[in-house]
Amino acid sequence: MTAYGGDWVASAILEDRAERLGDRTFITSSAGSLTYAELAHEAAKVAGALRALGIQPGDRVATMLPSGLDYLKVWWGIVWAGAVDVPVNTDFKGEFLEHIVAGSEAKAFIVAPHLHDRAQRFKAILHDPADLTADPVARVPRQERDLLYIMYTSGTTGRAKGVMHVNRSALWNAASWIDILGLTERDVAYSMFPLFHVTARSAVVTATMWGGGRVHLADAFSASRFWDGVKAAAATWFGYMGIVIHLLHAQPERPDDADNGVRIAFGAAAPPGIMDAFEHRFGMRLVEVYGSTELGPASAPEYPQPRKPGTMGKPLPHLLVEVHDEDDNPLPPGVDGEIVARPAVPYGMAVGYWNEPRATLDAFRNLWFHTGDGGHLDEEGYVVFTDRVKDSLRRRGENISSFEVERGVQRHPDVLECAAYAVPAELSEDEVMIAVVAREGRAIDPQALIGFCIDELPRFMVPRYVRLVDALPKTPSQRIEKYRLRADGITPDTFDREAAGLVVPRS
Amino acid sequence: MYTGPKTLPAIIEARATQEPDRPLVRFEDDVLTGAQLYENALRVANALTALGLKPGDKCALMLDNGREAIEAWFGMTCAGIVEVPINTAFKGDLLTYMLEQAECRAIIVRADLAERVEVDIPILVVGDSYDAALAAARTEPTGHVAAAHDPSVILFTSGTTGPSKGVVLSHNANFRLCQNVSEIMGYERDEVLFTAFPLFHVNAKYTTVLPALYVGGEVVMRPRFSASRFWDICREEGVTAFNFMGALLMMLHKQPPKPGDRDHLVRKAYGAPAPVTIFEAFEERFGVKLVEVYGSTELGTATGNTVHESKVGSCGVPAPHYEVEIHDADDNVVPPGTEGEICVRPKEPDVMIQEYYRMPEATLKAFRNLWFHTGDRGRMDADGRFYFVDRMKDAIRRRGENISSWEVEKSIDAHDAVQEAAVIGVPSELTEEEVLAVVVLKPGHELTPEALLDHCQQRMAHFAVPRFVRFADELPKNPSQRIEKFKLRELGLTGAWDRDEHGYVVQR
Repeated sequence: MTAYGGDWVASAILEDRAERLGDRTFITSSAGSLTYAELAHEAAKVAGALRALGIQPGDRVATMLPSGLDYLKVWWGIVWAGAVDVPVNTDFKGEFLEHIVAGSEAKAFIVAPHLHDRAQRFKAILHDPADLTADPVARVPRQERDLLYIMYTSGTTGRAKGVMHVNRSALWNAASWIDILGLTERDVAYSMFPLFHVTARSAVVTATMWGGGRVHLADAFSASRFWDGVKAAAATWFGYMGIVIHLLHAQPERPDDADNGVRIAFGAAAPPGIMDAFEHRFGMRLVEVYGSTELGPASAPEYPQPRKPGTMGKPLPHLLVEVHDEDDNPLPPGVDGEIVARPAVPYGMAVGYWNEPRATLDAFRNLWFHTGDGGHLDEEGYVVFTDRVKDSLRRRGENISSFEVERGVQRHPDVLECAAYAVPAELSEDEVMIAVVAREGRAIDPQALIGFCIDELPRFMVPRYVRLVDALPKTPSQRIEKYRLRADGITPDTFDREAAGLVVPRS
Repeated sequence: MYTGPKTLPAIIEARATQEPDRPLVRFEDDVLTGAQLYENALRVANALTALGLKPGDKCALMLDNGREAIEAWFGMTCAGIVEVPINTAFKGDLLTYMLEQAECRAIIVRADLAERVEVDIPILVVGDSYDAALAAARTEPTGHVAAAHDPSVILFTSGTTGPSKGVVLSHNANFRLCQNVSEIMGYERDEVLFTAFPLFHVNAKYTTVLPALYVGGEVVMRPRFSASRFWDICREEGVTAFNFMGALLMMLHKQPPKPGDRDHLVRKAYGAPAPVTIFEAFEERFGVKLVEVYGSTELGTATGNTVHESKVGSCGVPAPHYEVEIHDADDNVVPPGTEGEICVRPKEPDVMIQEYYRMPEATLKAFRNLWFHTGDRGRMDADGRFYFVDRMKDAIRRRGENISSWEVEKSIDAHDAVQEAAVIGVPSELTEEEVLAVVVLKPGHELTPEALLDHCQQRMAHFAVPRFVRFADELPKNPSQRIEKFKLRELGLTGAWDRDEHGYVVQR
């Protein structure tokens, strides 16, 4: 491997790679490719344009772009300019958008043309990626402890919070993947995740850049054409969501299933019952990793050791991981509690939540980062993830804040109150369910309510199940007892959006 | 040894139940028993509740050492009220700031200090309205049950580049400090602990009074330390151990030797710093084992020697509930022998500062990388022993009191004739530091050092009033216009006016 030995500063790595690996292809896609030198050159041009717009080092620049070459140029242009990158999910609109773009105090908002109508509120700072080109400028030097990006992650009791990563913490995240996956410069990633997600950015793009390999940006996922795409890209590894493993495994067997060039894939929530069979059939290793936006990967199997079934591997060396009870006392092996972590190195994890010191302090109580996830350590120190303690949902790889779903639903004039919670999805992870109480004298039509949600919420947050109830179960102190609702599950009187044939349109 | 719930109300209830009439604290002309403490604490709790204070509310306490200060301290916690102890030397803007910053809903205060309170909250004056409120109050428990992780106290500690910060500590943190001190000192039942340190600091509360409750001992308390009377008091009262700071040891050591220097029951003393120059001579002369520790309001005792094992000049090894490391400016661990910042993190929950009250940003700055950054410089040797070197932060420490240069500067700057001022600590012959003010006057203005100190006395605690004053034409500054205090420190007392030399006396 062409080792990188400089400061842990993202733009410095790109500069180093461009100088030393110059003509090597870094990105391929159906829309074209980029060498390391080309990406650095394009980034320098974007940085020149940002400078012309008055963007100073440390200023926030938000982006809402589909994955593709333009995305990479803009992202690394922001990094090259020493600005702070704020990626926005392309499904966001309305107040979700407002919360991130205004909340991060972005000085510019780079949005793909087809999404401009949603961003009109930010007209004054709105820019088309195609317009971001100027004479290239020199890289703006940054320190390892300078802020690199703010990644908003779904809250649990509140709004989405902006997770702040400095250069060093972001690169601990990226560098960890090299060890977890045993990446070398010969490896080719097959990237299916949207680039506004931390996993695509760290595990796929940045880790590959550090290692000197190549990334293929895949087109939309199709179970039937997946392996053809992998082979055409000469890919050696990919990242997955649980449902991908399920869908691929459900495809009819082919004699050349194992002849695909892929040696390893990582992800979370693969159906445990089929993992062995999947590995055998497709001739590759599956690696289940536990992590979060704040921590990056926190535990993983020790490459090249085989995974220990039912576990998420061992804590990575740059983090300390324990399981605590409600009073923050460490629990013995085998006992479930909350997974907590501490950095074992400087800047080994996110430095906090943007503009939310109070929320940061709550998460940092007793100088442990409280993940909100439930689990335990087994006798050998492997991490076993059991569930999310906090009131969040995860659907097809997206974290969803029940708080934000509830806020959206409650804006409906006929809704008195509502609770959003997770019910198990057929394949993997969760589906969103809401229990709704109508205002007195009003009737709620679940179908119409879903229609309302489609207008109010990002598409992946739109509930699948609606249950009408007379009252929500509550504690004496008037807290909603969601565990009761979860225990009831999908009742016979529950409205199912999919069974009703309601499709949430792509915006 | 007390084994009940780790809350302040529970431990005084236990003492009142088990040994009601045994003295807990012996003052010069007063004795406080366990039963009296518990009864009066409940009166305080009920009186404050009757005033409308609820669990979680804050109440200030501005008293000298005496039974009222102890009763009120425990009494507030019996009602779940968070105590905010205030130094009796504070006044003016600083006092107002603290009462407001801590959101105090009432204050219990010494009679002659009551007029200093300029905040519109109920003022309970000892000897007057406070006594009346207690006399009218019930003596039943309020019904509030404290949890160990509940905050018990907010203690102000001087800021360095900003205003003082309120350190929030839980009952559990108070107990962990007390347990640790009792352990390293080997305190046993019937120990008699002397203190003259004020009850508005952590030291007397959690490393003297609470340990006495914890091990089943007694406290001998005086409002003020007297070097000449010290050993007589120890003999008369049967003292077995005391707490020190550097100046206290120096003052005792400077007393002329007496034949009775070893004629007492005192066997050990706890504190910091223990000056290396007199350490062994002191132990030999008085027959007292000195146990040096390193700590702070935020942490309690972070490292310590023990009564069985100690090394002169070292502040010992990490307390069992802490990890301690020496870090460079980027938070990397430095090798043994190298100086850096002392950084600490807890191995148990609720043993240290929860936060600086209503200052989340300042708290997070201190908590960066999930280590508590002490702002103190130190080093660790190859055996894992720690050494305190000095403070990195711009705070001054004089005779056990932390002084904020920022706050003193702000007060001096308020003088009409003053353009700007820089305040630094200079080494004191009594260990720790004295305060030096370097002052630039506005063009065409004149000011004598005495007039400046008169101004200071009106506005700041007596111990913060500078001893040394130097007038300068300008202050050394870096290109970004920050005052370069290191240059002032290098210059030291050159050309400085010394108030002691001129017989200028600061009123308490």
